[in-house]
Amino acid sequence: MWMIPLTVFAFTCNSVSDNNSAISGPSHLDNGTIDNCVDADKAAWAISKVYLYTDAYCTTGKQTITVLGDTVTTPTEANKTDFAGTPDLGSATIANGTYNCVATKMWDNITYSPATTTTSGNCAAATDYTQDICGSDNASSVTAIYDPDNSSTYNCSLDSAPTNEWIWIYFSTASTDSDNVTLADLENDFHPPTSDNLSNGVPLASALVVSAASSGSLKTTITNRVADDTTECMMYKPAFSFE
Amino acid sequence: MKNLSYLMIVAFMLSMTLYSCASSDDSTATATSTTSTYTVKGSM
Repeated sequence: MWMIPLTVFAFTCNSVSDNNSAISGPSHLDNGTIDNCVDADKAAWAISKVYLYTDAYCTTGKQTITVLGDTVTTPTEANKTDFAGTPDLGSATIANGTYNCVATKMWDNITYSPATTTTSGNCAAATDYTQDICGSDNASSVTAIYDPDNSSTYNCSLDSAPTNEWIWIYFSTASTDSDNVTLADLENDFHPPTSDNLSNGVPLASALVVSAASSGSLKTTITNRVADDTTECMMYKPAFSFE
Repeated sequence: MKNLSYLMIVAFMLSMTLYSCASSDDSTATATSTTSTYTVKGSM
């Protein structure tokens, strides 16, 4: 008599593509696939400003779209905007042209809400949670960030001693962003690509052509990224794109 | 026949006048703005 073996699959919330989605450590945001986590139906960010550049390395032809602006040095929850409602973040009159690089200055800390309650109950639907996306609990794995305002580099804060929580995320038509774990130290989404390192930044699918009143969208993807590790609710690194 | 020729000349002159006016409007329309309003939105 033949017995049909039964196999029980244990579905675990994890990153299946590159295992680089952990919130601490990796210097690039996650564009890989994560399985068996929970969706979020809220993603609220505080955005300071957005720069558009004509060149792909974010160096020339800068145009500024101010959102909160530099006067808001430490944003509160009231300064965050929920991206679920496709909100207008800011507008400006800018020069007509073709823009190949986008730099976004945003607060490291996201407020998110699970769309459903997890089995262990640590992630409750319709409840707000916050998390830093650039923090680290280890001084050896803090991420370096390039600041275009003064052409210098600084590190994001340790979770235990948060200081400057502003981060810059770059989108470029030149970025290759291979998401290769062996390139983790070379592909930094908080740096623009350079001629000798195109792995930096997030790929911008096509240049932004501005010739009339128009808009662009800073998109954050938290689908399948909220995780319950049986002790707390957490979030894997979100993916970003500019469309 | 003479009247027909006269009407054709008048029609030709009228069409030239209209063309001239249209050309004048076109030259105005080619002046384009060098700036535009750009809006950044959020989405998820």
